[in-house]
Amino acid sequence: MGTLKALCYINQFFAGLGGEEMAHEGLHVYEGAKGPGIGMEGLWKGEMKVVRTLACGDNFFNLEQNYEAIKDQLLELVKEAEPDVIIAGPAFNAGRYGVACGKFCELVSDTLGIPTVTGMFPTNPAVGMYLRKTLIADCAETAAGMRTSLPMLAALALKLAKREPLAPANVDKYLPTGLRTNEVDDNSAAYRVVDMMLKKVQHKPFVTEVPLRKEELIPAAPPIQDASKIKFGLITMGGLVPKGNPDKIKMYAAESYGTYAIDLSTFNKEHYESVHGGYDTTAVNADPQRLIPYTAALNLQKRGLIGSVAPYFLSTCGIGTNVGMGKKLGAAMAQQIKADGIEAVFLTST
Amino acid sequence: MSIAESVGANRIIVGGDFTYPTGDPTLPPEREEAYRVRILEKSLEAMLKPIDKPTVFSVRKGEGESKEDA
Repeated sequence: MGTLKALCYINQFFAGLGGEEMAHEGLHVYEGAKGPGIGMEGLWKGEMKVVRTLACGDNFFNLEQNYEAIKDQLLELVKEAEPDVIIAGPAFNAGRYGVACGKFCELVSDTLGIPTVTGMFPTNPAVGMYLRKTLIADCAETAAGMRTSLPMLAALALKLAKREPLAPANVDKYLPTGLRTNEVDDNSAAYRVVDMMLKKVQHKPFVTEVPLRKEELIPAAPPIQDASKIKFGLITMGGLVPKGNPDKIKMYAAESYGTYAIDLSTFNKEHYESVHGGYDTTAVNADPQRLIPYTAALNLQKRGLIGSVAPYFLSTCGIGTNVGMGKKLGAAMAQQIKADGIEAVFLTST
Repeated sequence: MSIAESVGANRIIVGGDFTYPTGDPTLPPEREEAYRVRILEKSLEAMLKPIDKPTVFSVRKGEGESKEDA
């Protein structure tokens, strides 16, 4: 087998163009290695070399219109170089650089089917966005950790280029992808769990085979300043909809929400119902205000306690909703009401 | 610990019941509306307060001044 070929993507800083003041730089193409690629070539000991390096300023690449404009050119440059693997970054904990690396890897693997790897610190915001799109080496927080990060990235890239199977995340030092591979163990699960239990009671280290999902803590929003100047919104997870459920919101594991105008003359049990599939809806079906307290909010508005209340509500069924869908719906709701000037919300949950 | 607290919701108001968060069908309509207003007043109080972890704000069952009392 001849020498394997890698193509690298880096930002303006690692290409030596400059720092933040050069983040607007467009695409630069270098034949051979540049920046971190030089270090990796040393680690590959002749097995692989960097045939081409592409570099863009982080601000440039993160602007959708710029990305769209150079997308085809990027793909041409990659295709022409015929790489066995794509390496982006490492981006450490830099958010914009991380997104650029993830986006570049996604583009190339989706379009050309070439394996990709990048490197990031686990809390880089781009990790959550691209973990399913590209392999991400578990790198240090800043470029000061280049020396420890490069060997991991280089080793993963070489494995990918050789099309060798990867060892589990903690062995090959990449961020867990959530994918599991079956393997045969000499001992049955019963033996393994008893072994773990014995280690646990003896305070010896052991590694669980089924790590629990980590709870993501959402920091509390800062307090509102002057409520009498703010427009309030009303949202419920209790499944309140106009009778007949016009938007066909699912009664369980909903994947959408509805927006419904409130007219006090029709805001009653004749016109509204809850389609939530997880609680006794008798009380809320008798009076929608038990989910959407519209007149009470108007009462606060009349007394000058709040600025105003939007004359509509958002609603979905909060039951059997996975975290990913919850995030998606929540973000869409927040975006919609913010666009309408709503700064605080009374949200009821059942 | 409430479900809201365990999933990490930050400003939590304990209202009527999980089957009728802003209300109480056992109260006469006017008292129920007063109770509902009280729940929103408490929510507003929660939103005006700086907090750093999930915090529960409670409203007493049936609390709230209705015209009947005046």
